[in-house]
Parts: sequence; C-alpha cells; structure tokens
Amino acid sequence: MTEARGEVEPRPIRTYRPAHDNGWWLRRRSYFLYMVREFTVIPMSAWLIWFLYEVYQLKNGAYEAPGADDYAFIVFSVVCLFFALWHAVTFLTLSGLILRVPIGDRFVPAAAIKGLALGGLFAATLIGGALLIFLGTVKL
Amino acid sequence: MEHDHNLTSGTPRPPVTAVQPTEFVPVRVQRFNPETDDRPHYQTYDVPYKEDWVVLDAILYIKDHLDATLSYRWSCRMGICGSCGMNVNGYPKLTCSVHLRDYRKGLTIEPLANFPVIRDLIVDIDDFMDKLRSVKPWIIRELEQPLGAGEYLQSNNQVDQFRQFSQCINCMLCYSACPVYAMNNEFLGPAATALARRYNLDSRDEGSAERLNVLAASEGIWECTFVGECSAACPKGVDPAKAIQQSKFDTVNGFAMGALLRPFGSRG
Amino acid sequence: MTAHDSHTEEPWHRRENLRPAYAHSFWWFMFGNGGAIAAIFLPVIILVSGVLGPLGAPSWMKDSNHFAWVLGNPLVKLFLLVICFLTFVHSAHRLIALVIDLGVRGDKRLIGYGFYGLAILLTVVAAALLFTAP
Repeated sequence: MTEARGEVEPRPIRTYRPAHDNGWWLRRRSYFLYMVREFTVIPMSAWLIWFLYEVYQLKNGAYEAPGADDYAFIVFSVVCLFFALWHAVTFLTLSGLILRVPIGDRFVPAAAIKGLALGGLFAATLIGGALLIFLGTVKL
Repeated sequence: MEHDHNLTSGTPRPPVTAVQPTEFVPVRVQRFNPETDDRPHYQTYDVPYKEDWVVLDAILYIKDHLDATLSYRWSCRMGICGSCGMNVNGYPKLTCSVHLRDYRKGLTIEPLANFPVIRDLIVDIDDFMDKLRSVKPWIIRELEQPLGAGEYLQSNNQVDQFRQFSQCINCMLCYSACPVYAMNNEFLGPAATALARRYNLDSRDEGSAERLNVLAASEGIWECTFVGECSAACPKGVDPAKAIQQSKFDTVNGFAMGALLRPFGSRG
Repeated sequence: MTAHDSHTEEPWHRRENLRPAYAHSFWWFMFGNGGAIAAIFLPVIILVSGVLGPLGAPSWMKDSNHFAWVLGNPLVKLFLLVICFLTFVHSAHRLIALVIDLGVRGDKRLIGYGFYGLAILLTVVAAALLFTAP
C-alpha cells in the first residue's frame, strides 16, 4: 500500500468491486443444498398451519378426517414429510459439530452427540408413531 | 506493492524456464488496470503444459515470458504464506497448491471474490486485516507470570482444543467462498472468528471477555447462516464454520450461565 | 458496477460502545431449540397424521371423536403448543436469512421484527385454538 510521507496524502485506491448476483446459490451445488436446507422451514410451517386449521374445524364441529381420496392433501403431506426429514437429518447431523458437552478436560466426541441426536429421531419416530396409531385404535 | 517484493529482494527464485512444449494450456486471466479500466476484461495466454507445474507456475510463466504487465501476489510457493489465493475456475484456491494437470483443458484465473480488486489478480485485503486485528488474535493475560515461574504448561487435551484453528494462514479463501460476506462486507467473517476462537480455547489465554464485544456483535458470529463453504475452501483443514457455530453456542451458554440472558435487552 | 474510489468510514468493530447482541443470542437459542424439536417430532407427526392416517391406518386424527379426545388432555395441548411455537420461531429465523439470501435488502431489524412477529402471532393463534378446542 502507498505510504504517506510528510505532507503527501496517500492517493485513494481506485478499486473494482463486482456487483453481487442474487442467483449465487444456483452456481454451486453446496450453495444450492444450503438453500434447500433453509427452505425446509416453509413446508414444515405450512403443515403445522394446516394442522391448526383442522383444530379450528374441530372446534367448529366441522372436522372431517382426510381420506385416501384426498390426493392433494396426501401429496402435500408427503412433500412436507420429505422436507421435515431433510431438516431432521441435516440439523441433527450438524448438532455434533456445534454442541460441546464437557467431561473432565475433554468433550463428548462429535460422533457420539450426532449418534444420540439421530437415535433420538429414530426413537421418537418409532415410539411416537406407535402411540399416535394406538390412540386411533382406542374404543371411545 | 507486496506482490513483487520477491523481485526486488534479491532472493533468487526457482527458475521458470522457457520450454519447448508439445502441449499448451489456455489460461484465461482477469485483467484490470485502475488507471485505464472501468471494469475488468479477460486475456487468454497459451502456457506450456508441464506435468509437475502448479497453477502459480503458469502465472509466473506468463509474467516472465508472455506479459510482464500481469500483477499478482505470491511468496513462498509452499502453501504457507497465504499470498497466492485466487479464484481458479470460480473456486478459491491457493495457486501454489493446485496442479496445472487438473486443468489440462484450460482454466480461468480471477482475483479472490468478495474483495475490491486493486489491479489484475490483486485484491485489497485491508478490510480483512482490520477485522483480524479487532479480535485480538494473540494471547492475552490479565497478569503475566514472571519468567522465573517457567513455561505455561498445557496438557495434550488442552492443545487439541485449539490446534486446528491455529493452522489458519490468513489466505482469505474462506472469505472468498462465503456468500454471507459477499452480501454483507460488514460481517466479521470466517478466518477472524476461527482465530478468535483459537485464542479463546487456549488454556493460557484470559482474553475471551475482551473479544466478546466484537465476536458477539450483530455483525459478528450471528451474521453467519452456516453455509459451511468456508470450511470446504480452507486449504489448511481449518473448520471456521465450526468455530463460528461453537462460538454462538458458547456465547449463549455464557450469557445463560452468567444470568445475563436479557431477551428483550439492547440490540447491540 | 464500475471502479470506484475507496472511502474511509469508521468500521463497526472500532465503535466505542460495542456490546454483544443479546437479542441475537436469544433468538439463536430459540432457533436451535426449535430446530431440534422440529427435527425430532415433526416427521412422525406428519407421517401418521398426514400420510398413514389418510391411507387407512388408525390415527389419533381419524375422526372428530378421537381427535377431540386426545386434544382434551392439557398436556397434549401444551406439547403441541410448544412444537408450534418453537417451529415457527425456528422458521422465522431461517426465513430472515432466506429472504436476504434471495436478494431482499433493507433494514434487517425490520425484517427480523416482521418474521419473529409473525411467528409469535401464529403462536398466539395456536394457543387460542388449542386451548379452546374441542
């Protein structure tokens, strides 16, 4: 860099700065996958909003359970499930990198935290799934 | 200029000799002359192909034999000085550490993205140097122990905590790969955070609190959205993305533990 | 953009009154918790209630009687409210980044208020619905 000596002011550097391109995330696979990861929140929230709408219907006495002929709803749910799983796997995989749980002067290894997190997802899916299905079999 | 200090220092450099080649590689180089140009343009040079050349050798060949006006930075040729970072086919690389044989059909060399271009392949690194200084990347002690007390001892585990972050060579490839920095130059960025963390994790250091105001400012770690490309770009195996996310975790923990969590307090 | 002269403004990290952004740390904490809760519980809820149920498997939402019976439990209401709240806050945090990534420029604080505000509004709606139904 030019060094100012005595009375001489350093000449301002004339530089070139390229304009930012909003399509940056389409240019590299890793950028695109990052955007997909961020996008997962839209289908997840959308499904919860649908769920709240069903609670609203129940409250008004107008609830009708979706059936096998509700193709649009089933496709919607499958798409939301896909993104919810995408979120689950990416989020829980990264948890091992972020969480630091001390034991003595060491920390629980990242792989153990990641394993525990993914194990939690697996267990919640098995136990939660069994429970939600069981509740539907109870005779009222 | 920093880029040609080796030409004036008198240190002999390994010769890049003219060869009688049988094969050429087209090297497309971004040129920008601040005296005459409003925007950069590209110029293609046919460089002889040599199996053992790195991309930097091709650039040196252009300078020595084809076009002496080409400007760029380089120094050690062995991946440690961090001066020869450039975008090669759009990816930030240390040009001394990537081989010409991997770009046999041709390559495009541009200055590191996300920095103002001063001339040709030289970018303005002032912003990074400024940010690096702001996180005080050195050991801070509240009270130095007298020399007579001996060394500051560390266990292997304690060294392992920060070792990988100390491999950073300030080459700025991570800033070039970071879309968050591309969108907002205010962002403290990957390398500065990795180095701040390197010292925060050092058992000899007592300066975490001093670094916190910069690290945990709005433009600090919170700006990062964890794209993770900084870690993919790092030629030294440093994981700045991890440094940033762990800094967030530790900062939140610190606030919570110190009963300082003020959810609706000042937005710094 | 064309070449321009560099200008010298005082950078943010040299500001005298620099302080940690406590609000950011709070929202990041909520974002992290929301991400974990959504990751662990949402897939199974969507799988049973949105896919297997409609396809004929027994499900807690298979008719209004069962749905009302399960929702009648205050702990279920609370659990669903927590899932809604944390997922909406988590989503807001990511949507702020997403719209900026897609090129929306402007006052970031305003964008933040907008999305976090929407998340809180949706949570209030969720609380009102869950605690008044069935």
